[in-house]
Amino acid sequence: MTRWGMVIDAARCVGCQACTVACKTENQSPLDAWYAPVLEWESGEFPDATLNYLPVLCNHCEDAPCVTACPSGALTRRDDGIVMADEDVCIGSRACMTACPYGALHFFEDRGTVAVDAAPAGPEQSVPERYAHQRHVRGAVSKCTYCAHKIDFGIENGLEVGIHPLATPACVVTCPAECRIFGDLDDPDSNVSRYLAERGPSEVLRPDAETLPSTQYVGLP
Amino acid sequence: METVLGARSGTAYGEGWVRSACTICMNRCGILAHVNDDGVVDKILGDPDNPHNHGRTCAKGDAGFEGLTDTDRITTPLRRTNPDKGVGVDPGWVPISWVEALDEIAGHLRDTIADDPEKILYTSFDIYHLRGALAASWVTGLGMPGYSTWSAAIFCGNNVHGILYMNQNAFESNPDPIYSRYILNFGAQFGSVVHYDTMHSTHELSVRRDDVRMVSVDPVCSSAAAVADEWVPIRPGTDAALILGMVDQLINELGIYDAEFLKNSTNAPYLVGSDGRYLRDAGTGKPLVWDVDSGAQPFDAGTANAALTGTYTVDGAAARPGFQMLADHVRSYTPEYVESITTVPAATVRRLAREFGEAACIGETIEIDGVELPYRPATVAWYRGLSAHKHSMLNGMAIILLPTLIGGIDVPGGLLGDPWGLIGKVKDLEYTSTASDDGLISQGFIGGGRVGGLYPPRPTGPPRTTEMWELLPCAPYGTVFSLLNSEQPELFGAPPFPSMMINFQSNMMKSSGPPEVVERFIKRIPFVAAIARRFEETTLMADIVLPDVHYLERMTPLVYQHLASGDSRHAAYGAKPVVQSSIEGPVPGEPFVDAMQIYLELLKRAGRLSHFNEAFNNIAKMREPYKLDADGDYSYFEICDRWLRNTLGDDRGLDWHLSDGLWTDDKTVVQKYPRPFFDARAQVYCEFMVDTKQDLERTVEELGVPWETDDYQPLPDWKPGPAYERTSPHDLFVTNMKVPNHALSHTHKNSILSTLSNRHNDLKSVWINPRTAEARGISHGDLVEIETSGGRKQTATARVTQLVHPEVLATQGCGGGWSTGSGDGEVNFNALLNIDVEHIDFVSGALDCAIAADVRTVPAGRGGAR
Amino acid sequence: MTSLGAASGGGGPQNVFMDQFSLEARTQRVWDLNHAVWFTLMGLGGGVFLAGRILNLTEGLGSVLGIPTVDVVSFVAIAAGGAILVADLGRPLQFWRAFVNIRTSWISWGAWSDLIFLVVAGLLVLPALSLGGSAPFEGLGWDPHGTDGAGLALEIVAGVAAVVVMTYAGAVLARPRAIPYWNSPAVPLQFLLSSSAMSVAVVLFIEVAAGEPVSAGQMVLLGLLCSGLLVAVVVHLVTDVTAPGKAESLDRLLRGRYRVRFVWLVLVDGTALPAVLAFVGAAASGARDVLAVVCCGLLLVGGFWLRLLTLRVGIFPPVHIPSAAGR
Repeated sequence: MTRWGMVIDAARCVGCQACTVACKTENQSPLDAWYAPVLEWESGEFPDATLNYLPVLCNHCEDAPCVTACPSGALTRRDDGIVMADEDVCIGSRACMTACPYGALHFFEDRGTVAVDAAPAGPEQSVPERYAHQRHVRGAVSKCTYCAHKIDFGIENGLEVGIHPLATPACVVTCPAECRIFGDLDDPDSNVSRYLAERGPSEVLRPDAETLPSTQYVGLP
Repeated sequence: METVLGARSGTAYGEGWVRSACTICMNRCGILAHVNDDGVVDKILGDPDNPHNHGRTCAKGDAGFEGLTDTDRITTPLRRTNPDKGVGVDPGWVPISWVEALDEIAGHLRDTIADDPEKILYTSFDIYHLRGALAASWVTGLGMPGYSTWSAAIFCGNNVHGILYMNQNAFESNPDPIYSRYILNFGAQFGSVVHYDTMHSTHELSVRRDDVRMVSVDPVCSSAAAVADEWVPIRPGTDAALILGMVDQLINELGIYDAEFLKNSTNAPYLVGSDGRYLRDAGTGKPLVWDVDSGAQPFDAGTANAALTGTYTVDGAAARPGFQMLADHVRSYTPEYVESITTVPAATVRRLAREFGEAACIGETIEIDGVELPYRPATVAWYRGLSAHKHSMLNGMAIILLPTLIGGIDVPGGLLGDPWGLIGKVKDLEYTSTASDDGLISQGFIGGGRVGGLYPPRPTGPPRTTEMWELLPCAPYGTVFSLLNSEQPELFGAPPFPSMMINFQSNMMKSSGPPEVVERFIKRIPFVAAIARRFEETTLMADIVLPDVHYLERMTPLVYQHLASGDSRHAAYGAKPVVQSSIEGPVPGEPFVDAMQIYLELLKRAGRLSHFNEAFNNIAKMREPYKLDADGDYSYFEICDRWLRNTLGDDRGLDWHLSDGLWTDDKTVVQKYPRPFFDARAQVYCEFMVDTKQDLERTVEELGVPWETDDYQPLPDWKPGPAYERTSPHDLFVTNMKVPNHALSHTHKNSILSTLSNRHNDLKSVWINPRTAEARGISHGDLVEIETSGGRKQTATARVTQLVHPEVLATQGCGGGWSTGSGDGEVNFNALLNIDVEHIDFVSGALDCAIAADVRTVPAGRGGAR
Repeated sequence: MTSLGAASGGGGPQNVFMDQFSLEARTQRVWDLNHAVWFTLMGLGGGVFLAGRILNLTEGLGSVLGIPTVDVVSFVAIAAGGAILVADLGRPLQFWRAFVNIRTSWISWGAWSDLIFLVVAGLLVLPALSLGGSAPFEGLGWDPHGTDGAGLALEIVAGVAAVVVMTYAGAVLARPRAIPYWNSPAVPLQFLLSSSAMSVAVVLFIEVAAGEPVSAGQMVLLGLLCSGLLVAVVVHLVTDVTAPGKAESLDRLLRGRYRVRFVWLVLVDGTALPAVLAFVGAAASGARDVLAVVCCGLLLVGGFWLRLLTLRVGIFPPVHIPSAAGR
């Protein structure tokens, strides 16, 4: 079986937010929704202080609390481990949002923005925001899909998933520090498995939540 | 010729992906842009085949398509009807035809050229044109010596470019991302996505991050300091003291320096007499060195063992090698003295020097492509943080000593130069340098910008322009004097002021100083034309506005020619239209793809086309059969085709550019690490400063202008800047830093990036140390007012943080605009600057950006909540 | 920005992780007032039905269109709660999909229990329906008060559904581990006890309104329920007090912005005071009716605030607790 997963080497992250923006343009998430932000925090006291970075995204948990909580069945976990939100099925209960320890679910509120096919766009409205209304369902919840559409495209077209830019999550492709590795966690010879063998063991976020994430970390501060 | 634009080609990525180049920052990464079924560009990828950015993009590049389809784009030439100009004044734009607009601008060009072509001011920081032959030929064709990069020339490389030309014949330099193991950032952000060569270096560093130690000396824990192994907070404007303290430790305490390199590849052994000048051979006039066996002899007499230290008597006169002069000079920079100036603990000064020296691996070699090369994996990075100060050139002379002392220049692990003086020489890549009669690196800059080197110094004379270039023999730029002369016209005898200005991709009003100062400057210029995609603060000051295209609509060949040294591949590529602009351009029936089309029309109308053609042949190093005929009237597309074929080969013309457009090649070891392969020497002791000072003092005395010449000295010193002695309540420094998700001033209206910065790197905030905040009764999130000792004010939101020196108020980015689409409540740092004699470095033309300031909470009822 | 303390709520995007990209504890802002109202109404609806049946108070306390007042109050509460629930959905027209995931989703369980309750309890009382003097469903043949076999069967099914209705809101909160303050059996228990106490008090109020005397036993029951609720609340306040996320929740309830409302409206008004008054009422027959009415008012207010404040102190701990401070 394939279980797609991402290893993030937090020690490599330079906090540039390329992933954050690449994700937005790839997935055309609504303006308020950032599926893959880089969290910051300060630590220490002057002069021994520093700013730390932590890239986050959906953890694509094996035991996904969002899937468990979702009443409509909109949230499902594919056989390859990717947790998907079917926005057409979602009823907008937002139970998933309180169930997810990672803040990975995003409710698309209608804030009166203009659809791309409606009035001409003003300078304040970004391209992803305009397309968000075509790409996403208002009143529904959307999320990181590990760019499942790119993975599926890659498999259909014989491209190497996790390597080829059209078959790899946008956040992975853009990262200048290459702190993200994407591949099959179940394949011991995959890039992620090899990286973990070398730099692991991996850690996960909110281990207390026992969600068995497919997004795993090394080099966490 | 007929060319199909907007072809979905150039990549293996199929329909919808177009290969081009990014123009958002100086890195000019290779990109693939995606056009969706609506014809909208909705995605940008790094070009995976491009060795410069390895298929990576940053946040800015990812969001670069924003603005393409905006409704506020300028689509037709406009004429101002309101004679009154200024911030907040409605220009009363009326649309006019291209013919009318071009004729009028060309008329001004003709008149000004007839008077004095140097009275044309062309301000541009267009990144595509910046290093290319096109814009250089346009200004040369007009009869100007070069164009003004304007704001960059006030804040950026004032102590960088000349210094690097002097010691490595490069316009700029970077640590070796593959072999450097100890990287000292001085107020720079190498290692984060803020500095130059970001994608390549971030990629390479990340691969070997565990093996590299990075140290950031910075008043603020910037994004680079955050990812460094150590942040060394320092009082602003005092870096030179720390550097000279390290030099003292390296030479006088630790004895760590690369003697072989200093003897053979620098002027360190040149004997210096009591007057500060070289001792010269009576016959040849060559500088002398002291051979430990045979005594004084010319530096190029084949001496294998020239003395670096000691005092010698030559013809009865006492002399010391330049290195000994330096060793003696820096003795006063004891760690304890350095601590008192910089606040960096004396123990840290000692430790940094030792770490740097030990990491330099002096004596070690490494084999690259089968060739044994010196291995010097310790290096430094600096830019604006060291440069934007009074005494800037002294800072630059100090910092270059560190890589020079360890022989860490253009060798594996060292400081690698980007010699973009080699414009147009992609197929002729040999990195060489002409040596002066004194054996020193002396190939100055060749290219379009009004940029000068440090050595050899230029002759002085009466100023011919308001930039007073003729009184700045060692400066790369004189731009800041334009503002000073505008503010105080009689101070230097009112040198000639520009009669007209053409502004393109340079938002001077926002990016170069207090808006009211720049406003007065621009108002004094009788005629201003601007080329712009949308109304920026500077566009609003123009008399005639011409439309511009978005960078994803542009076709500009060879915007990137990767010639920098280092163990990577060469690459050359350009920009091509990802989508074709619907805006009508200056040439009827020709797609509008570049402002160069406007310039060609202007040159034609001003009768300067033949001058352009000749300049282009010269600058682009055009050969037969591609050379332009002096009397020819070529379309922009024809010129591009010829230029491409001339540069990359006959089979790589415009069609190749549009269908492929990426040229890469291996480098030879000489191209990778050139220093060991040529003879011209770098400088440790800047002897030329002695005569330059004398010459300049004579000139200014004759002219009767007040001028500062104290900083023309052969060895650097730390000297206090204007804010060093601060008095209550203005006892803090206000400073500014770059953020990774904005590039200079021109990404602030990108809606994705501005939304992001409101969430993250807040352009509205000022960083205040908790100790300082407490003493002033400021809490996190308070609305505060920064007031400089000069009475200039900005409001900001307080971010109380441990990440800033207690004496510092740190602002971020270049926000605070007022044109449509600008963010509210952003800090305009430039509005706090002082354009006066006290804050300008008279050697480098830098403007001091560490300003004495106070901060206090805004009284209730004022300003309102943010 | 320096602390890992909980960011305050209020305004901004619904995904609380998104308003600043800082690693810190985050207060959920997904559910607030609307949810507190429908949680309260559902608890009340299920509880009033059950209390009416258990205390045998369906008869003699008046009726609306022939249907016992207590049942009417129950139905109205559940229908209103359900309407608010549906209106609060992002896509209300798709509400029927809430019934899909009965395998794991407590909201689906809740949807089914609401439906089953309304259908079964509605069937149960249908024979009593009187429209303009006629009772069209009289012939259905079971006792709306559940005294015969069919009636009892319906009553039991409706009763079980009512228990689920009273509990599931708490279970929705308690099941995921994301928010430690919620992730405890104490929360559904509190909701169940609060619903029971509120419901008994409402039934007693109806009793008083109908001119019937409140019994000492009823007041003792009320007192016990209030006492139980107090214990459930206090025990939750003193367990796992340092757990990340829960510590912030407790801080906000006991020391921070909700201190006054939590102490006075939930602890005193909503539990301790009605417990005392109920026991006093049990002993002092003269004041019993008045005290029952007072308890009803106090408990309704307290029950609502218990739910609202529980929602508002729903705090996600930081997604990562850094191992060491400093560089």
